Amino acid sequence: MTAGGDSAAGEESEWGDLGRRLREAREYLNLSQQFVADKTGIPRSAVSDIERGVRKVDSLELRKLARLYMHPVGFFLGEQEPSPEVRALARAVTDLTDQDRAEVLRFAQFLRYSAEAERRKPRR
Amino acid sequence: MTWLEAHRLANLAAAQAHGDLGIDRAAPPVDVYRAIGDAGVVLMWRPMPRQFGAYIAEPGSRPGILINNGLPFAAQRQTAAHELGHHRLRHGTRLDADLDAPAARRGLWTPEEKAAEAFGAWFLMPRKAVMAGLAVLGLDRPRAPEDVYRLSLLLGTPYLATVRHLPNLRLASQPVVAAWARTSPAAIKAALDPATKPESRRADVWLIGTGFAGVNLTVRPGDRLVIPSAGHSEPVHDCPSWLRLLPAASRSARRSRPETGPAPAVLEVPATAIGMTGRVAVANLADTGREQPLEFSVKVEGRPNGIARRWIS
Repeated sequence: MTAGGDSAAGEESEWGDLGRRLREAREYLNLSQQFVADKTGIPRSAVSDIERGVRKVDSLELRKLARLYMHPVGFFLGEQEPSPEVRALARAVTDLTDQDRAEVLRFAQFLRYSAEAERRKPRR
Repeated sequence: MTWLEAHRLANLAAAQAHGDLGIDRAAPPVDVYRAIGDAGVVLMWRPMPRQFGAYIAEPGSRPGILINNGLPFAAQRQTAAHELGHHRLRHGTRLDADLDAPAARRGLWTPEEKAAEAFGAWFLMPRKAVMAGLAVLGLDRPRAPEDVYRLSLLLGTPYLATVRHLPNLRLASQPVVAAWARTSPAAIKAALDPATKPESRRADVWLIGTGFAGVNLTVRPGDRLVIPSAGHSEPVHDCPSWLRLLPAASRSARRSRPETGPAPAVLEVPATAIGMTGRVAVANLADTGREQPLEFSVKVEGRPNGIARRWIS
């Protein structure tokens, strides 16, 4: 087990961040926790606890959620940088309100993640 | 590119799209959201302060259409059809901020914007769909702004866009259309149901007539169905329990001018009815001579949000 209060607190906040990213992706797509539970087999209360950072998510659960939300697993782990193409689009899109611009770029990034997820799907 | 050229191009492109995407042009409203999905384009609704919509088509990614779900429902559909136009016409990423521009500004649009806008009109309002809508109203052409408003509800299109499209279909002349364009939908709605003070400016008023037999209406919370009485005190035979029959007494008290005979029955769609469907049966509508009850169905839709569900697996 880890030693020292700092790394324990650090790890807690990592679970919190992971949960927050999962909740934000779910809310972005407008999926209810119950819908996610029905689709993944993860109980709704567990989905809620994972999003609040009070329950750990195992790798199979994370893969199921990532697949449902059409984001790469690395995104939820905080390892994903915005794609260079989306950064280029951001530079080109300057005459929008901040929120409009944020929505357009977020959607463009989501489309890219979703395309990558499609390409990585196992072929049967 | 002139608007005439844009419309020629778009008319053809929209007809091809109808064919490719399996749209039945004779059965309005055209299901533009399903068509976008069938075209392989990811559809997302999000609240946005100013944007109407966006079409994203970046190399190495997948195409998507983003729609501002704060717009009125018909404007969301029009925006979706406009963005589908960018996709079908292979325009590449487009961000559309001002699709409601006045005529003078629209005249300055780029060729791509004109083509997409014309595509949107022809996609949602092909001749067959418009004639089917007019048939429900018992008309061969609109004769007044009220006819265009009622037609726009059946087509699921904004009033102004419907007015503007009439000359393209040779259903009204430009001078007539210019006058109709100056009539506000709010004034038309108030005239259709003068007895009710609307809670929402966006809510629509559906005046029911004999041609509505067998029709499926897509309604939204706050919408009202006005059923003429034809001399009967209770013209509504049967309706779902979730439709609210507005009290007759308060309606009569608010009538703006004295009328003979019972007031029309008004059914209101409550916010709690989102997702509900049901059948309405009404009797002996005015000026019809029909003795049999007339039946039509209603489906209540709410504000779309997030990703179109077909993309979730």
